[in-house]
Amino acid sequence: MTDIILEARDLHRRFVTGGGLLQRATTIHAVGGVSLRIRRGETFAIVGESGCGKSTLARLLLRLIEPSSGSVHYDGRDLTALPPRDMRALRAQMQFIFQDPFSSLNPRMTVDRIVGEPLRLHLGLSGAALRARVAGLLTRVGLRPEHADRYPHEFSGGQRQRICIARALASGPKLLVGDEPVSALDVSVQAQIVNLLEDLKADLGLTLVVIAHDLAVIRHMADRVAVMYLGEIVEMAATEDLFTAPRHPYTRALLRAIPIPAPGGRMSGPAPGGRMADAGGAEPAGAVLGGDIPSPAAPPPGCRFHTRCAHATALCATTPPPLAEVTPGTQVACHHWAALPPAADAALRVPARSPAAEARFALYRAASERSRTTTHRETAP
Amino acid sequence: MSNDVLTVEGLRVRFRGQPVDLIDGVSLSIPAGRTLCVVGESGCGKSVTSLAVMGLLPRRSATVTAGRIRFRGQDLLGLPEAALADLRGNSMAMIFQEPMTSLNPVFTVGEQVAEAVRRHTGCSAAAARDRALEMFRRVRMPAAEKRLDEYPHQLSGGMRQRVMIAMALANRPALLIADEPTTALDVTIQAQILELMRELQRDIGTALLMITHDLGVVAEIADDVAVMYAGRVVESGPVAQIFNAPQHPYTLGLMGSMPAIAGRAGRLLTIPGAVPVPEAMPPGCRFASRCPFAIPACDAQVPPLVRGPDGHAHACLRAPLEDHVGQDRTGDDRTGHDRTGRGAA
Repeated sequence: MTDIILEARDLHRRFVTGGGLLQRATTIHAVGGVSLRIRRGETFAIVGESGCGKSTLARLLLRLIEPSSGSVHYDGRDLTALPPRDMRALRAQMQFIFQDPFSSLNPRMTVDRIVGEPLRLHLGLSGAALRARVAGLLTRVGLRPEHADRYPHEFSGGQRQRICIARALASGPKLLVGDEPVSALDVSVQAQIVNLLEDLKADLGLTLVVIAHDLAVIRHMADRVAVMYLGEIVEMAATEDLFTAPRHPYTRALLRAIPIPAPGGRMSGPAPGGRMADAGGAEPAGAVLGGDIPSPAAPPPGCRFHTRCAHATALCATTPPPLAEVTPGTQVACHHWAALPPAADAALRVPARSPAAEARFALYRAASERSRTTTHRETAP
Repeated sequence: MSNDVLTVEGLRVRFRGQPVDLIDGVSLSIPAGRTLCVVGESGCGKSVTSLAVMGLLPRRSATVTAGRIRFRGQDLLGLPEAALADLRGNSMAMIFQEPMTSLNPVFTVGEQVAEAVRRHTGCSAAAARDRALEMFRRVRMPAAEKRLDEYPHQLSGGMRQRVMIAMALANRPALLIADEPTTALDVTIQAQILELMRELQRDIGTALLMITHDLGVVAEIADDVAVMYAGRVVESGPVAQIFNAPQHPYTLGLMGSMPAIAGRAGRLLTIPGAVPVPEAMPPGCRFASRCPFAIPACDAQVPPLVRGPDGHAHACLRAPLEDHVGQDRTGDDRTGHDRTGRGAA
């Protein structure tokens, strides 16, 4: 049996918004019946578009917000049943990294207080031992120990995210949940943070849960992926299987929508005169997914994707499909998954890089590794 | 070339109180019906360049210190504000990243598109409304007629961006500048908007200047690409050349730091450090402080943008890398000065 570090059982979360003298309250069913198991040591990704409930799910997993129903089990203990005191103690083992490093750091605290707080609270450190530990953490995430007495506004976005990571690591967690941890960053900075997270995971034996909308980041980092649509998981699979044999029509549409950074990528076919389907209408295979994401305040009945799905039938409009295992390790919530075009045909196709480009990337990689290992500049004749 | 709708030559822009020109000699050109993508990271000057073209730089804090901006043969920098206002929204239009902040929340979207038409054509209110409806249908606004009378907050992000496109293209502009038009949108909605922009551009023959940080979007929509770093164009050329034979180390670093959608290919390449602040701008190549191939000559002189016969241009003393890198390692004399910490504030 695989070692499960975190398990969600039939999680639901409803939010009530509005409501007052003139307005009727609306209920948003942000997460509707999510069950999943995260294996110790893996990187698990949750992907979906705005309003799909992925951020709510991430918070539910660490009980940063309470579920409306359902439960979360960490190492076999039911988090939702823990008294606040025990929950606080357990928080040392599970930490959260937010998307926006600008708003998740207190602007009036210096870096050593920000990073030191979990050390004081969870480990009871103080004085020189605390300072040494803070310095060690800052070094670990690629900052300089001299930065400890600075304030967050003195740092760039990437450096702030490093501070957030140092703070998350301070209490010695086993599980890190990152809600879009790199999506607010420029691509070169994003690469630094992705590499850092992967190094930390390997060195410290962490389990990572990453919420993201960028499928390239997910393919790079994740071992398994859950695809969410309007509060529900529609497909869950090993990363390679998801990209090479996507099953759910929504997953396929997501893959088709990714702009491929290579000429001759996604849109290289014959010029589209009307390839795009009208909102809600049927669409030919290979088309761009039409329509907007329905409001989570009024999700469609039955399968929530049926309003945009080219394969929907009357059954889809009335009966929600269960998330069922279709091949070992792959779960799909679709009535018609078996009748869809073959999964391999829906695989993401990316043209290979040219040999000339490959050769230069290799030069760049070699040169940057050289300059990382030496502080001196190579000199030329 | 007279075919170019827009030519920018040697543009320099300085912000008040800064010791160097933030935009430092940028040259671009776009022929009719073509798409130029300007790509780069935060602070590279891609948005400032486009604002300079539109004459929208904040007058109090930014000054164009040199260069020429010619739009259909007309020098924009010498134009009085009133003449510029007649051009903007008419023969040149702009779309911004966040449609919610570009739309007025107290007018219906139909009124706003109609106003853009009336302002420049002087037609009747009814004719302007008809034109707005026609544009809404062309941008495939769902339930177009009903949406005309709705307010921006009633629309989704994708629909708001359709309104912006309808407004920008209503007067059939010769030049459309789009600044990260799909960055705030979900990926399936982004695909719809990109396809729409390509289709409308083809129909109208507009020259499109697209600003983006997303190389996927570049590959999809660009005919030509200009890569910017710290206020300079470091590489430019036809899109296939840029992807198939990237020359500048910054272009390589930028492409290599993107996770490969084709599947994991080892650790991501990174560009060490951060973009230099204006106070610590390197005197020569502005990328030298972060470049793994830099040699002392890179600090001594600004590398010129050298254009090859295929239109592919780069500003790097070390390009092509395979001809220069490797030879200088034979001596293995690492006596050069320490370069860590420089520029990495």
